[in-house]
Amino acid sequence: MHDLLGAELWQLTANGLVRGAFYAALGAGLALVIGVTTRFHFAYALTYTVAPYAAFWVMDGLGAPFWPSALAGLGAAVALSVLLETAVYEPVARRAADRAMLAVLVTSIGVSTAGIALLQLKFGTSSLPFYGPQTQRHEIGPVQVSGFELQQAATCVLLVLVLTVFLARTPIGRSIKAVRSNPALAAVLGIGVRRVNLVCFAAAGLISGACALWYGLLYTVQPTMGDTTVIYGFVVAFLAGTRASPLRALPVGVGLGLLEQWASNWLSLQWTSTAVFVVLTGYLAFLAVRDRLPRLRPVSLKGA
Amino acid sequence: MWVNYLDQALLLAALAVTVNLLVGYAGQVSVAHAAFAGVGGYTIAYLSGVHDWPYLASLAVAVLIATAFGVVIGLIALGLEQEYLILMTLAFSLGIIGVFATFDSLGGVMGLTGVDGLRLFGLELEEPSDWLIPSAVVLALVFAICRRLGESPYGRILKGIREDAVATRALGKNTFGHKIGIFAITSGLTGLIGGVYSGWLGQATPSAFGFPLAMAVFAMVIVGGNANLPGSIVAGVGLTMIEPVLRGVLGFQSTQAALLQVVLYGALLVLVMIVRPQGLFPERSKRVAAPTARATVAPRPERPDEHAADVVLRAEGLSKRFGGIVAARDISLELRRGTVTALVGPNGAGKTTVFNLLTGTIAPDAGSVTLNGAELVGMRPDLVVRAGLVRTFQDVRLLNRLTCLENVMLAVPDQQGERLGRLFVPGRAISRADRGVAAQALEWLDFVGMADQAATPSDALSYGQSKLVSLARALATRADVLLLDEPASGVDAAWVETMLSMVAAVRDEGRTVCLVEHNLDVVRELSDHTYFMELGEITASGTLAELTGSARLAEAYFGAQ
Repeated sequence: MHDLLGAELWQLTANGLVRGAFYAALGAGLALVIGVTTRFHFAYALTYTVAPYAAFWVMDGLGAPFWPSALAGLGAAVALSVLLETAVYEPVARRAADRAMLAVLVTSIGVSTAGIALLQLKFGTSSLPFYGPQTQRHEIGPVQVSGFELQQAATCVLLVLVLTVFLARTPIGRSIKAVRSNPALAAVLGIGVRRVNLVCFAAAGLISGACALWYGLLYTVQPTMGDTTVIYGFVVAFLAGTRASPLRALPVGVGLGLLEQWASNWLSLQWTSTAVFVVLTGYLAFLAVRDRLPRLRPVSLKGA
Repeated sequence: MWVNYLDQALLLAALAVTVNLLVGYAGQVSVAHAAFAGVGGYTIAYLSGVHDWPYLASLAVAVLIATAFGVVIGLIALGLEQEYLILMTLAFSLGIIGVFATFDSLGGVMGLTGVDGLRLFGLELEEPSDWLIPSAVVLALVFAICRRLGESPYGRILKGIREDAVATRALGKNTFGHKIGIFAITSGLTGLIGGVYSGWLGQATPSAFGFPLAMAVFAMVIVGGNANLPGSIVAGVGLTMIEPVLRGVLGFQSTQAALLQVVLYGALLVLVMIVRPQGLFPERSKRVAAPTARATVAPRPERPDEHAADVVLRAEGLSKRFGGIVAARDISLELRRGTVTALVGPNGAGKTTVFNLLTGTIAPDAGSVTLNGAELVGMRPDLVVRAGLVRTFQDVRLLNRLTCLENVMLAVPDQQGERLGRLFVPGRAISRADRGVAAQALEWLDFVGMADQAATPSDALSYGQSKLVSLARALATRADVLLLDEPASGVDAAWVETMLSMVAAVRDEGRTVCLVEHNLDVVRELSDHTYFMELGEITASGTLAELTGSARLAEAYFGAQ
């Protein structure tokens, strides 16, 4: 019995690590957009969902093999992400001036929900038969993982690492960091803020698309698959810091993934969906209390 | 079919009105209204549908639960940056829908269905036409409450929070309390509407209260116009009726029509945001009558001798460090009644930090501030203002979309209409009191010579004019002590003269003034006593002549003078 529990725990840990890498990559992509462009990009859910749908359409409609189709799906996510910034967010933010945050958020929710409704009109409201190449299961000690899971985790970690190197080592990456720390000053220095924003949206589109394609292979592809995912992305992005290095998303994402999986061992499965909310609430409560702590401290330190 | 859609239209319009109060008036961006409606919907479906409670009782419970959720979320997220409220409400929406969908007692993914046989006040609620009256009553009730809150002194504070919460707090308003209040009220109302909505639907399902509902309501608010409640009703009814038109007139199937409607909402939202972001019916501001009375200020013939006047405000040993940087070190100063004290020194010396420390905007690490003998350190900034210490800002911080008059009216203390309890007492007491407040505000505008601009939105003013309005705003708080942050900087010579005479007039009114100023002519003209600051410390004090006479200071700051 004890061994069984141990084995169970190892399995949950492995699942948590795989899940965690997935959350980390999603969070790093969203953090890049929020931190640099200050857009509350809810339609990340849409670019996420579009990737497997586009891949399916190419595969099923045009009869293309899986990997080229997946690439097309990835391209669709990147293109949509860039299009959203140029055709929607940028003009909306310009018009809304000091209310840009509200305006962009609301439009983003609108576009995302409308886009998903369009997918439902075209492909139906149920899940898609989205199948890739065969994969085999690996047994590592007491743990079973599928090849897809290993590849997904590797892809996600790689995406975060590449993003980190990209920001640190390339000229455009350094421009992105400059805009992130002070957009006005960066613009004065001749950095094209619009171009930087576009690169960020392209990167975020790529990450969301890659994550969604793996997710689609592992689980199911359906229209509302992005809703939950985008919120995990937001939570990881804020917990890791939207202006911090993407690397910080890794421990945060993995922590969240592990917590969610371990929780299912002790709590009934029903509560695990609220794990992310509990973590966020705890974090925000901590922030709220920390901000007020100095006021609670005795202040009559005359002459101190 | 049409009656059924009309029920829905009325309820969604009611949702749009509450969301508009929160987002349009108070500027608090929450996406959780669909989730709060879900809380209400599930409450009645569980209590009345499953456990056969009377409908009215379960509606009351729905309101209470939704309000309680609102208070908890508000307490956590409303004191933080705005992103965190968005994030918190997003996660709450997801979390609560997840809870609904996973518990067997709440029907799991399918939700609680077959909620029927509801009765209200002896009224059977079976047919769609039976729901018209409850829906209309709920809309009327919600509209009345939201309008009362929005178009009152309470609503003026909400708008102040929307425009600039820091500036509003610096006028003596408890901004955090008001944010929690409005968040809780709108959550409760949303719970009520959700309870009626689920009753009308006959079910509570996770998908009914998801992001598409949240988005539909946002579309209504944006299309109808921010901070315009009738606009929300028009847009709410109009947009909901898209679906029956698609079905009845264009012959779409029901699911297709519903999806197409969502697509149209999205497109409309983007279109309105780009073409007409203020919405179809823009916000309206208060109309004012022309000034009637001139403020009568009797200048006192003799100014008190500086040292004879008693000390109104005394700071002792104020210190503040940010990490390794010492922003203020052992600051001690005294302000005497009816005099002008100046704080001068190079940029970055910590002069504005001293204002922040005195007014409680920043809590000092050590030290004390007493106003007429009462300790201010540890008090909330808005209470410091109420105690009689007000400040203006170097960057002015008028509330842009409010008129000059509204800016000044907001500052008037102890308004009856700012209290929730008083707002819902029948009678005209509040509006009569508000006319009094408007008259007071107009007097202060007149005092600074800006009465003719009372109806001008403050973002249309010139820089010098906005400084005058911000002075009027500070005066209207009736605070004894005014801290003026660079009243005469950034304006041309003619304006400097105006500001000089204004500050002198304020002093002659018997108030105590402390100003931070770089223009030494202003300081020379006005100040009875001057403190010199550098690197977070007061290093010299005296009259300006004494300070400029010092060789060291002349070199450090005063230059060739």
